Amino acid sequence: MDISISQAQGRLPVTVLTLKGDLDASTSADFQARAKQSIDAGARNVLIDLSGVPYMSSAGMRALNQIFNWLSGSPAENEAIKKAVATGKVKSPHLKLLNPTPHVLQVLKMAGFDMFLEIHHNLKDAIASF
Amino acid sequence: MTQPSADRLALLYRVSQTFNSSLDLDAVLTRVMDEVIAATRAERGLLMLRAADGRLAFRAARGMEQQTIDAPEFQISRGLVERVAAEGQPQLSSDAQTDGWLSRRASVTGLHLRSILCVPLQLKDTALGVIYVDNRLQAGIFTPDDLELLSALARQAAIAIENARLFSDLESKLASLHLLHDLSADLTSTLDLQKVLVACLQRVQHLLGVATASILTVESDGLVFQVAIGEKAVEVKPFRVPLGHGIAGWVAQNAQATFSNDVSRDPRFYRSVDTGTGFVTQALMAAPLIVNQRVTGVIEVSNKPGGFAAADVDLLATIAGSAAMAIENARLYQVAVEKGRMERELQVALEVQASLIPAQTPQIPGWEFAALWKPARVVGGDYYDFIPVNHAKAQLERSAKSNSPAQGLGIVIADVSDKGMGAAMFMTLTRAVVRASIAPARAPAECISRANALIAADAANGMFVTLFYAQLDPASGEFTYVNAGHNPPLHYRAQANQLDELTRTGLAIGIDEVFQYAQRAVMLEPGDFVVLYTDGVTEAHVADEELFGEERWRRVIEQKKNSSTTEIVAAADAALHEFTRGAAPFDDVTVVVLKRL
Repeated sequence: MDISISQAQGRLPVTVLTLKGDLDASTSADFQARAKQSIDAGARNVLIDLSGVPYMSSAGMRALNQIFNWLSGSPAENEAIKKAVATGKVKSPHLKLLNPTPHVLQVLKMAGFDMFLEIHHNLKDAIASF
Repeated sequence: MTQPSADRLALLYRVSQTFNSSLDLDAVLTRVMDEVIAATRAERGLLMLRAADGRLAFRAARGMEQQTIDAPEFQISRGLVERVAAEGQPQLSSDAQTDGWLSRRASVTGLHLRSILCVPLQLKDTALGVIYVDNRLQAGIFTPDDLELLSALARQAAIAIENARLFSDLESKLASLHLLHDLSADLTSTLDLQKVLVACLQRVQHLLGVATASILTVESDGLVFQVAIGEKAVEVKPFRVPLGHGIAGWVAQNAQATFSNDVSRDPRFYRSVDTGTGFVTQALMAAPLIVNQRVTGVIEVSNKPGGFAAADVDLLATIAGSAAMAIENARLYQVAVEKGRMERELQVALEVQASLIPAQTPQIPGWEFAALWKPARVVGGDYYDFIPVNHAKAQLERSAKSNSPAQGLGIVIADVSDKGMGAAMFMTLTRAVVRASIAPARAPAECISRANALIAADAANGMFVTLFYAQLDPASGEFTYVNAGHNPPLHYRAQANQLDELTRTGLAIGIDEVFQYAQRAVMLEPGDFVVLYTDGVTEAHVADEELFGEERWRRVIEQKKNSSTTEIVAAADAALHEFTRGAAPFDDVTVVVLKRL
């Protein structure tokens, strides 16, 4: 798996992780570690570009969930998000996904990841949404 | 010089004997100077040798000290010394006050230098250094004979010096050989990385007489102190040297050993460690640990009395070479041990997991059950479960009509994210919590919401589980389900001849502890069946080839719509086996089928 990291500036600074290759049990640890590095280095808003990921297993989704946890904000903010997940009205303000391929979108939706992660299909809109 | 030539020959013979009687360089140099002063009538004398950096360095003297040479008054003589060393030609001045270019120098007259003799320590084409003698009182004290004698003496001395140097090299090589031997002895006795590193550093400290020694490894965010011995060894451990900083950082970046005898003047020096530990570094030497042309770490020593010399760098670099291998071996060994342990643990996990899978399918009149569970080699987290649910109210109503006890049935299929030991543990947790959360008086959605709250509180590292839970009322065929982010089971409706998906009613479990799940109900009519499965089925594949996929999966089931549950499961197994050409599954494969007869 190829992971590149870049910075984009919208209303807030956004760290974009662009993945190339399958996100599965053999690559998810590396992905998670790279994201952790960025977060430790101060990244607060992360956009994961999934356009180059043809396949994502549950290990990849576990990594996404962990990154979501790392990026959670204040307890009050988290509480609000969690309570509202079922209504589909509030999503993670700090972690968003860009352009998942059809298969990846399907597995994300199946497990309900679209209920708490915002999914965008256009880089500009994604950056502006933070 | 008045000695007859026979005496001179005798002197040279004696000198050559004396010079070669020792292989200790400092002893040789002392003897050379003694003989030189005795043979000439010099007032004082000096011997300089070229150091590794090419500069002439003071090594031995009579009647003068290091300070004399550094003093400005000596500068003119220093110029002469440099010239002799550079040109390899001896210089004699019987009266510097009147002699050529020397007489024009103020210091010559100022210091009343009268007689100067300077010869190179010539070995083949290179000047190892020079011998310089002078007399500040008498003119004409040195003659061309003296020049010749001193030159001859210098040739003997050069050979003796070179021999001593070679021996010293050999000795340090021997010392490193001993060190390497001892290190390899340590290695055969222990493959514990910490012990290997400490033993290595102790030997380095002993050999070089340094105050501290440490090994840093290159990590993604800087150089990390792995082992340190000597002063402030404990205090230094938490420190990190950012990449590209410090002398250690320089060594790691340039894959080259270096030293600095005055770090306060070295711009590369990283002060923060001293500031933080209270240690005062004066001199520092570091060498890279290189494995497969990659710098994996740095060995660093500090504060050697008298400072570091070029030979010390060579020694440290040699030690670093073998230490790097030792560290790599220990690391590889640890990885192997870890792998062995992991495999044993996985074997245990697999056995635990297998023991939790129902040994048989439920026996309920009018219903048929079958299941397939194939764990992957690397333990996954699939499981299925059948849980009897006695519904008190239903039981009462039913007992009134017949004698058969009313028995509800809970059916679970679940898939824990990721693989390995963690997934297997999470699976056992999930199974226990789900079983405990199911109560006859509770609606399925409430059971799962409770289970989720408990599991989410325990979920670490982003772990989650997709789970499908259904409660079957065997009497009515009512099938009430909660789909927590799981692959939608397929419901074959015989009357409509159609496969429906039992889609999600909530998020995967373990993500959001306050999530409230919804439930749905369908009626299973005679001839209807439900196929529950995990993504090990639809995502089955060989290497980089395409996935088995939902289309293929639906076709397999549609072809068996009139078959028994056992036949449906067998067909699924056969189709997957054929598709993956018999390869062991990448992921756990689980299929559960229930059918109303």
